[in-house]
Amino acid sequence: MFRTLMRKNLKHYLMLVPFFVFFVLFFLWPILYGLGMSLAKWNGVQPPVFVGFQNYIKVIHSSDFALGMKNMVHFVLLAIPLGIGTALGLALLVARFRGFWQSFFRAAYFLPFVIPIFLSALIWRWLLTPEYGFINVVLMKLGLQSIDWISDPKYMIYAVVLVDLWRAAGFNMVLLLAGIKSIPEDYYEAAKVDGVNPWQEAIHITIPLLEPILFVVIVNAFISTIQMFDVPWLLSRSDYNTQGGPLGGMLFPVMDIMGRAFGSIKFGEAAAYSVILLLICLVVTVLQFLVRRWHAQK
Amino acid sequence: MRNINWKTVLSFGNILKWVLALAWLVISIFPIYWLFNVVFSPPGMAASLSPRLFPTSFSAGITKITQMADTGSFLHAYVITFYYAIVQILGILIITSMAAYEFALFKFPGKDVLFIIAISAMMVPQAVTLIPLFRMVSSFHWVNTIQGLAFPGMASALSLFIMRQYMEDIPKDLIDAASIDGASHLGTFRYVAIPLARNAMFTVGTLAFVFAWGNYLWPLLVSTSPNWYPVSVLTAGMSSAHTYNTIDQVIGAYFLASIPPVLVYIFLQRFIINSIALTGIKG
Repeated sequence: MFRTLMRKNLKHYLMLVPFFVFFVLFFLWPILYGLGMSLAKWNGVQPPVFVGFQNYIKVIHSSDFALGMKNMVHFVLLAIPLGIGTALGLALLVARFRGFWQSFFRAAYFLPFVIPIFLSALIWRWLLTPEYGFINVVLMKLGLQSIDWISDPKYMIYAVVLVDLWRAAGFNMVLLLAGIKSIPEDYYEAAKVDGVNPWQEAIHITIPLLEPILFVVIVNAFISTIQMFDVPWLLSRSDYNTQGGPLGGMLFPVMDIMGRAFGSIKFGEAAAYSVILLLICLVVTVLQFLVRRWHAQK
Repeated sequence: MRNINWKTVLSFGNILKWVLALAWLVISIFPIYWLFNVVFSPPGMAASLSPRLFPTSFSAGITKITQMADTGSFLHAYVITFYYAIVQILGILIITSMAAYEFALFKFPGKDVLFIIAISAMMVPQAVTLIPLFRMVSSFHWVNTIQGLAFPGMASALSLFIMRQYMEDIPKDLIDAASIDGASHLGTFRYVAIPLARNAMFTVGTLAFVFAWGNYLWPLLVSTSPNWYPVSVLTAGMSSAHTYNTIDQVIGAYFLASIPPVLVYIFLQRFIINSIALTGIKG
């Protein structure tokens, strides 16, 4: 029975082999290997020593962990409402254009997403430079003071939010606009009969029907925040020995992982930190699904 | 001539709509425009306190770009990045199209479970596999090799997902007809499914190019020798404290680094935008 089943379907499984070989080798196995690594003390040279959960305890009790989490939460609280609000606003705006102009604005707004992240970070670091960076030149022309976005801990997180907002708004706009365009015309025609204005149309028809896509956008935003690296790393001129700039104002978890692995050569701690990130990611995703289900039942 | 209804054109709502749309247009385009503006201006504009808003010197831009190219290392990084991108794109196209063909067009035991497992990788941050993956790749002696750079990204869940979406639109009748005519399973894939999935190939390939060109974190780990620096690692390192480049040279490098993805986007943007829109609606 099993053999005839296998023989009949063998051709299907064979076609899946290349993908799953790469998947297991470069994704699944590293996760398992990382779990093992996280339980050992290891500097990459001497043989690893089993230490149980010590690495986890060390990571959680370190001040850099608290700082990374604080920056991450601070960032999420600013960037997600701002970013999704902007993207939704832009999507509703672009949806009010037709034909050429709609395609034109959609394509232009998406451009920042195609600029490599590392390059966006570098360009913005230059634009935000104190005194002669373009943004500060404009501020000074307006009679304001030049702001040290890059190394004044008061402003550093805003610089990261700014670059992210510029980059991701167009991307999320494209997702949301596709959702808006898939809403059947009937809804709007019915509304028109009732004499609804564009503002009420957005609040009562478009946004509620966009809920599933908004959900995708929010989950995406969380996952990309957890793996935030290029922007804060390059804005703060981090390297393996010091990360996050003055007072760690731009220290994010992945940067800390890189520092632990290649600066202080503690692979066990770095792996433990990675597992913690995986758990955070799982908890956040499950929570979001639960909230969504609860919302749907209401 | 068309009758223009000035009352509609000049209505408050219509003006507001255009003002907002143009304002965000300026914000989106400005950093790239500014890069272009400064490169095609006399030296010194990059740190000018009263910059001009429009490029003034075409020849200054050409001089900066040729100077950059003459240093050799930038051209070399360009070649490495294209090499890396092309190998990775080919790998992604081959393995994801094979898997997507099965997931989109056939039924077999375990199909749904396998697909969900493959797609779940999209929900896991890359950071989670980073350190163990690096240890593994270095134990293979793949640091500073094309395998080390390109192989780990090939089992791309996003590419598989997009590819499957497109392949689901292939009429099942065509596949059945081919097999009734005696085409083998692999033959049907090669001569029926692949030609019909041309758009899917373009889309996945374009996205993969943009991602490979911009990838910084992974090459930072596996390309430790300057011989293997892609554009991202070279450019990011140019303005570090240990180098002596002038700001004009650095900005010139930023400009050169931006050209390939921007050109690809200008010519192939419908593939990119459609695929992104698709992942949102079906995801």
